[in-house]
Amino acid sequence: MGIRAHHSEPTDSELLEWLVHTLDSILGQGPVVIVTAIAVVVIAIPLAIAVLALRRRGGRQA
Amino acid sequence: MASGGSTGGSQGTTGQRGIFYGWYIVAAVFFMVFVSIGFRQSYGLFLPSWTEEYEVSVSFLSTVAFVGWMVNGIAQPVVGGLADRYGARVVAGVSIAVLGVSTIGMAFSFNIWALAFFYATLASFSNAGAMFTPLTPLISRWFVRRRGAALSVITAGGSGGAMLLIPFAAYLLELANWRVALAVIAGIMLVLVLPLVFLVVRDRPSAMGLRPDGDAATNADGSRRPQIYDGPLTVSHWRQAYHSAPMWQLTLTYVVCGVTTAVIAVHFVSFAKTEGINETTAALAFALLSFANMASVLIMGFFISDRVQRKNALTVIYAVRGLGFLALLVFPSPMGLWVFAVVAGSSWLATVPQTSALTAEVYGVRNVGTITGMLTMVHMCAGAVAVLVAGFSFDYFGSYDPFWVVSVLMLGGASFMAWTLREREVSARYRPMRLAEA
Repeated sequence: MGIRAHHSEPTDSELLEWLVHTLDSILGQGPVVIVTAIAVVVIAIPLAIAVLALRRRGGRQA
Repeated sequence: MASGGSTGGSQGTTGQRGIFYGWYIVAAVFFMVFVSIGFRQSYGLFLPSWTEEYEVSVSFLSTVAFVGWMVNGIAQPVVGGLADRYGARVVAGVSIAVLGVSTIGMAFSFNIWALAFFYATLASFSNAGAMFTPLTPLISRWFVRRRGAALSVITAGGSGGAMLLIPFAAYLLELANWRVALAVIAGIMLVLVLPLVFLVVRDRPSAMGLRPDGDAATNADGSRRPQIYDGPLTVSHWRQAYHSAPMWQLTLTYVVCGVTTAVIAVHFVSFAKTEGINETTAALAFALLSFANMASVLIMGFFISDRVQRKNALTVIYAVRGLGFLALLVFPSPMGLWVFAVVAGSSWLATVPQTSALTAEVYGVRNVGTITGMLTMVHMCAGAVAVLVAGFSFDYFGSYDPFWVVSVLMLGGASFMAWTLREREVSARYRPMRLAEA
């Protein structure tokens, strides 16, 4: 949940703190679980894109 | 309705089986925007740590953020111009590399001045090269009929980045400290985003023997299929754009966009406190605004944007946002805030892909990076001024209501301004004039 700034307007630290508190109460998970889950997503996205794009290019050349 | 035929490749035949390679490029730059905006919007998370460790005031760090905001705005036409000249691949790649290195510099800063330098200059400048501006010429070359959809996906990347990377950074702060959190984000930029950009992104479909939208190279009768048409107002230098009405119409509407989004981004907490809205309600309303925003960008991109005149889409978007601000005035709290979150949220980022696509179609792809950069710079500068004016207005009136009234009027004006744009006469979608370089 982030502030919907268009082009990198500075963010409000207090609002970010509110958002994180609210997220805490909704998810009810510890930081290790959340960091691990997001890290998996963040690593998986580029790897999947790269593999699929390279396969596409390989397929075209063949 | 726009006729696909006017933009080259009307038959809609694809020159290849499977997913068009342009969509892989969209996915790659989606991830780049996801990370660069996620990092940018995490800044506020680190303020308490920095004030404690360096014993500086929040005002000082806000000043650093403000300088960074201005640097980022001024950098927009520069990176746009570089993308026009050297291609978005090298601009985005170098930008993400510099952003990663400057983030490492922030993580290992030995004093607040070093940190401020890295953030406000190098990181803020390079961040502009890893966001929307240099991607407009890239996507405009790969997509013609589906340009609005492709630009919308990238814009949604900004929402996604904020939604995932802010909690990621926040919990990393809890697990370790701000230096580790920044170092991890820098690692994502340098180890994941940078190789992805160089591996996947290509500046032009012709570099891979392809055509925009994945069209076949030849028509059924054997004639060569045209690539991208220029429109009647296509410019050979970006300054020429200011000699025509659409540039001023787009600039003025974007000014209103910048004013209305920046004020909410910065004054939201102050507004919520003034209205007596509690922390959880305010946070959930903002989360709702985020989801409404992301959903509307994608719905607008995939189902509406490429099927109607873009100026009509902009007319509706600004009108809807005006209704959102009106809700803050007419409904009591917190109902007004909930209505605002849904109504205004659905218009929040939707202006970006519409404006970028329209700019490319009116002024051609050759200088669209610079022109989009100029529009974005004005958007950001207007937003910065509006944040100050809203603060003064609040101090004077003791309420945000007068500023919301002005916002409603400005958004009504922007909606009308967008509606008066004569897209059928100036856009390559409707009046293709000559062939452009794809």
